[in-house]
Amino acid sequence: MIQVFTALTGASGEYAAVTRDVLAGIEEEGVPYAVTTVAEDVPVADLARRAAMRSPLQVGVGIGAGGGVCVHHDMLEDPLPELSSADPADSVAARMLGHNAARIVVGLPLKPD
Amino acid sequence: MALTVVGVDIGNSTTEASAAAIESDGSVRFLGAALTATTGIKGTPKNVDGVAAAVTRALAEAGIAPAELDVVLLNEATPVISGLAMETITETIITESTMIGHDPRTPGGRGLGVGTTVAFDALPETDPGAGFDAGVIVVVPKGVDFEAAAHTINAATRRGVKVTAAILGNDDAVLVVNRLDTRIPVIDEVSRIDAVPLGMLAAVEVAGPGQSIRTLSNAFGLATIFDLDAAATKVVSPVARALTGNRSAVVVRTPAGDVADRTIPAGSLELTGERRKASIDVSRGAVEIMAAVERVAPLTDVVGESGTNTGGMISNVRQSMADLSQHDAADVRIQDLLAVDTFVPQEVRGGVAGEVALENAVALAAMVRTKESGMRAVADAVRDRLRATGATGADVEVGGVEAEMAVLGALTTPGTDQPLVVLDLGGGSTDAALIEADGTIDAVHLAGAGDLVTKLIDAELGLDNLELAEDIKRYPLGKAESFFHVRLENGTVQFFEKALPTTAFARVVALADNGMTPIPTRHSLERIRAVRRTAKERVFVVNALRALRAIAPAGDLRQIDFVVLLGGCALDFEIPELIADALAPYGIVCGTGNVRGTEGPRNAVASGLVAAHAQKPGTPLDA
Repeated sequence: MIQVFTALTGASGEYAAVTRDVLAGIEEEGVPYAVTTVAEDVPVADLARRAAMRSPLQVGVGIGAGGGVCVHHDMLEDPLPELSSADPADSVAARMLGHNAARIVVGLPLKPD
Repeated sequence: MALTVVGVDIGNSTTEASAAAIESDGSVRFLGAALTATTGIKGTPKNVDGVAAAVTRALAEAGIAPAELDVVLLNEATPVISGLAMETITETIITESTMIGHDPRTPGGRGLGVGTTVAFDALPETDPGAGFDAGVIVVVPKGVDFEAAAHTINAATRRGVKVTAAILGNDDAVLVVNRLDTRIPVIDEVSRIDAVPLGMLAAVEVAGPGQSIRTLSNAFGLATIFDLDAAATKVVSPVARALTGNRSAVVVRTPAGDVADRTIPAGSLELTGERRKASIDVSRGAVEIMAAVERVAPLTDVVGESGTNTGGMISNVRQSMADLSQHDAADVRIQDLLAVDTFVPQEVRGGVAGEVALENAVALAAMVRTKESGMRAVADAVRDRLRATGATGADVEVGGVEAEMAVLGALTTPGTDQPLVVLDLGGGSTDAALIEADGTIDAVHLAGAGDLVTKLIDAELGLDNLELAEDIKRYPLGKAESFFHVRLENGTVQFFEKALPTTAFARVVALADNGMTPIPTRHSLERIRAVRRTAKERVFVVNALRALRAIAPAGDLRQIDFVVLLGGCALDFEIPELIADALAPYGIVCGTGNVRGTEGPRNAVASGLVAAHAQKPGTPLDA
């Protein structure tokens, strides 16, 4: 499953919509995921890196305290700018990154397509 | 002192030069070659820039100073110009019946749902059983959250409303189905969801992963659902054809609705030959058009039926050729025509999500012989330019019919001898020349070459991007399987040290020299490869056979032993093998030329010009 490491706490916290949108994108593509809350104050890119290391599918998503999103594949050296969002991610961007995380696993061309 | 000469071949796309020294005993030492893009239209003074560049570079490679240049030899550029056009001859229009066949990647649920279309907002008020015995299909606009959609549908179902399927504007089908009490087929990503007719009988079908729908792609399935008689079934059958192969689809039946598969009156071509005339309707297809061309051969002109699309197409081609060669349209004579059957994806008129259907089309390449060549003007311009830039002693001569020069150049390929046939595969035309044992030369010029192949690839893949089509034509394909490797079309793998761009991930790419070009379509690698290869076959194999039949003794291909391929398209990675395969049954040895043993299929005419000049009696052999 895709590992989602998030610094956001609670379903009704600030930027809860970001998490919801990301997970919706992954679910729509039909790929399973697991969410882990990370208490430390860690940059989004590092959350993504750690998540990718932990995922048996080698794909991880980081959601930062500022609502930013980053998708990473363990094979890549550094997270790619095209797979990272602004802080916070808007609804369309968050949803698209969810889709793309799953599409990397499944081997489909990334959105926008 | 040897005579320093440079032979120059001005082609449609490239200008090639060959620098040589001709000794006093008539022997020739080739010293340098160059190739550059042709500037302006072949045979006009604008070519000067390209010629000057090619001459300068050839001399530089030879290590000869411009001041030592004695003669520049220009080919008598065959005054032929080619043009291209394409005309669709069928059209799919949906009138008042709605089909949704865009085949989104992630539909939801599975099976067939039949019911009356109801707006999402009206669902909470919908009465179970009030005239909706067959069921209800809910239409959900964009902007409705997936949780809300599922919640509302569940509430209706619990009230006893038979919701049999759903049509969504958002990309939410899987999300919605995962939250429903009962699984129903759901299609999503409908871009013009507001155009879906409401209050009408409709059917939604979703097949399992990797499968195709069975009912909506079957004319009799549609007849069953919508209770159609035989006449109505015939009229609706194009819908079934358009939806064949889809994983999901929707058909909404509206009263008095028809889907028409129309044959557009494309018009006819009037072919005039030296002794005969013929008229052929374009919609009869390429094979019949070419048979008609064959019957009236040799062709002297072609006109399209006025007031029809074909008429407009041909007169546009004539006008653009007239403009290019600066003649009157009335002076333009089309002397060869190549028709090729093709399919073009066209957006279906009346579709609701950008659906596309493959329409029959005919592509036409025409070749025009213009009035006079104007090479003398080019020669004067070249001489003035060369003298002004340091080649103070240079003279420019025009001589040598292109076909003869090509043959002489081809004969410098190791392993060749007269009699010999040369096939020059260019961008605008395919030319053939035969040199017999006694030295007589015959030549023929045909419409249809590299540019037509590119146009076919562009049209059949729906690219609308000729540059991309050119890349697909010239380079092998691969599919990016990860961020670091690409699987090539021959099954081998290429690895990259740096991660591939995200735009290339999981896409089919063309592996160009300077990097990979992602192909932004949903076509599989196999489909793109097939389109590429058949486009080359339908143009170059067809034209190779036509050309050889035109110049073979008594039209008999078995009387030809050797064919040498020249020109830019002879460098293509597939075209020579496709032609050789087609010629092998006639016992013909066909291979790519190797001019002077070093230049490959390039530089034949330029080298031939030099060779011919050396052989000419009266050539001053002292500078």
